[in-house]
Amino acid sequence: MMRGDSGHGHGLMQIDDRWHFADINNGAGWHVITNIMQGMEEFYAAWKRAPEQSCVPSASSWRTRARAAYSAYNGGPSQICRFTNPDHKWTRNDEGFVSKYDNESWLNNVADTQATSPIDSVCIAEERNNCSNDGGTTPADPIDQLLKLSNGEHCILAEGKLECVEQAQDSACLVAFGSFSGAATDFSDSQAAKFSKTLYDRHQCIHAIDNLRGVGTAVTLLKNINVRTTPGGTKINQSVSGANYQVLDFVVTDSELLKRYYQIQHAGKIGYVYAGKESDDMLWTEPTDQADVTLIPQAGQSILITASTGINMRRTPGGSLITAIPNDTVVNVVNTHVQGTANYIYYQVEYGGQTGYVYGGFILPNSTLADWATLTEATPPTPPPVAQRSGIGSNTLWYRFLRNCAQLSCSQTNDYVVGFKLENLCNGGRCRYTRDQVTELETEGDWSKVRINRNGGEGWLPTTDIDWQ
Amino acid sequence: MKPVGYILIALCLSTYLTYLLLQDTDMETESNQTRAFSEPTLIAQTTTPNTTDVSSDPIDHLPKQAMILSHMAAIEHCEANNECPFADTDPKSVYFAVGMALKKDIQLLTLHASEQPNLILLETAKTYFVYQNDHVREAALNLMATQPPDQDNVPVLLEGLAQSHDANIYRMALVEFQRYPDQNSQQHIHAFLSDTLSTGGIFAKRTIANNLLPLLSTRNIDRYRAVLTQLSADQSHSRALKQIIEEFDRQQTGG
Repeated sequence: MMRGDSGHGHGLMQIDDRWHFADINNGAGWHVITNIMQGMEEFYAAWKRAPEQSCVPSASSWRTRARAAYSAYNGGPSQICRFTNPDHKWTRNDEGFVSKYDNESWLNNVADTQATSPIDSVCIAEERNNCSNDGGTTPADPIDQLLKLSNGEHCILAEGKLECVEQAQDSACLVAFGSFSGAATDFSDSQAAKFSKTLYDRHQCIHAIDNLRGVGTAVTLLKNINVRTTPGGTKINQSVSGANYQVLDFVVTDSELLKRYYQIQHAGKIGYVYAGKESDDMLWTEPTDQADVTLIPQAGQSILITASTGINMRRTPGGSLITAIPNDTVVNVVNTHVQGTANYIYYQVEYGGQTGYVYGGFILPNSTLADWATLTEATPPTPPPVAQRSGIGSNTLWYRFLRNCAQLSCSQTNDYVVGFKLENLCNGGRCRYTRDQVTELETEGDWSKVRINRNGGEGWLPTTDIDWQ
Repeated sequence: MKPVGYILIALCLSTYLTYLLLQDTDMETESNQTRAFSEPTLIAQTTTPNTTDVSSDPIDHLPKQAMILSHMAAIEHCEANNECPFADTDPKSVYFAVGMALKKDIQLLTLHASEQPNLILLETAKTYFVYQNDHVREAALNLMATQPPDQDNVPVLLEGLAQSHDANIYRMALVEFQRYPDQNSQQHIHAFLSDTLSTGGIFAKRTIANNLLPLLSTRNIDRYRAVLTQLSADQSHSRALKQIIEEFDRQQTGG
């Protein structure tokens, strides 16, 4: 990597570590696209300011404006008119710049100004992985290739179907469907339309890659491993062998070696640790039951609802509403469910005698879990015992099939509650039916869940269908 | 020049030398932070500007603060006149030395700031947040945060951000913006942020998109929904903005 300005300038655009120290540590020196973007933003700021300076006659004085922008870029904003001062120590740099500007000498290093770039710089600038643009055409039968769809999904073609993940960085998960290597090839919408497609959630990856630990699980580190801002990025600190960490995110790179990285929190800082490749991952980590610090509450723990508006409890993650759990309520976690590219968390909880899912925020890029619920040592209040009551089928109906939930639109069960009509037809003990005795199990609105004493069948029916005793 | 500038320059001559003598004492109070480079080297005493009588100045009862302010004025003056006595080892060495010297002074002011409102400190923060040096802007923003929020800060914050393209400055400003919930301030803040998301620098856009959630409300969310419809779904800040808007919606409905 090029260094200049007494070692402070880094890379093609000489990004200065005296302000951009953290960026340089994160690769802004060697990452050529980031380096150019940072440099050009600085140059453009000076370019915009230049027409306001006395040394630039007008905004359309292009040559002078460029010289001013360079002076500021090279010497700092206060030096924007440096090029007009022949006695300044660093005016020699301005002379060098204008010489190149006038002679267009950079063209000496370009063989073909019309050539298509083999680098998809926009893709790289937008921080996508596996960026490519080789200008070639996609083969007719793209077997054993990673394919990039126009919406950013990455797929492989296996047995006539597209098997896809939402983003490039999870493409290693697709090894379950076949082998591939190298950068992704663009696959047009018209090509993709010829195949059926299945889109997999990234968290299904743990089933595709041996020993990959899921978000929320705990691992014991078997070595002291550097904690880095990104997989393979800048070192933050070093985790401790033998310590137990909760996995906050996973990244798998290299579809052949299946290198894995886990995001953990160590000493109050969040970063990624390398966790080995497919052939040696057991040398780096091993699963354990409990992390030393739990950031994502797990089954058996309790959470305190912190969302000021409370949280909706739903039948499935994001599904139909059961009820709302008020703010400041403590509930038991039955299970923790993770989904999506941002590691969205849903807790399966018990509340009000029912079980359902509540949203818990996301992990990436900046966790919002605390906005919704936090782990607590407190235990939920014991619900008051449900005053069970019994009754018999109402004498206003013949019979009513039970439902699987508390709505008329819900599906019927095979069980039914008998009302008075059939009882009235009974005569001298010849009738099989009497008004059914039922026990109420729970209620929801105008509906009751009941157990039929006759056969133990359970289900929902309108509360008014029973004469309660 | 703004009034505070005259005050600063006026204080220079009488207090600068004293400040230099006391500088080591003040240095001991500075927080112990990791530095990426060594301290700027002051190799000669700077020339100070002409001054006026400052005997009746209201900040005379705060000698340490006055000394610091006068030192800052001297640095500003020397930079404007290419007279700074810092080592000129590469084209930007003086620029960064000036920035670090001003930053250090502002940090000293911040350390000595009490919980009581101090108009001089607030004006200093505002003055230096638009200084063309991100080290100075960073320190000025920290100083501003020690003072009660004042609606007049918002135009200055927006002016300083418009001059900067730095992610760190944007990240800090987004935190500061949370202290200005009044409708007028919010209108200006969100007009600026939404414009930047559409047409701003790439690092500024990403920082805004990733840190916007605490600033979102039912009054401004539609503005960002409109921005999102104009962005390409492939852009990293577009993806981040979409995620934040969805999170806001969940917060409104209880998840």
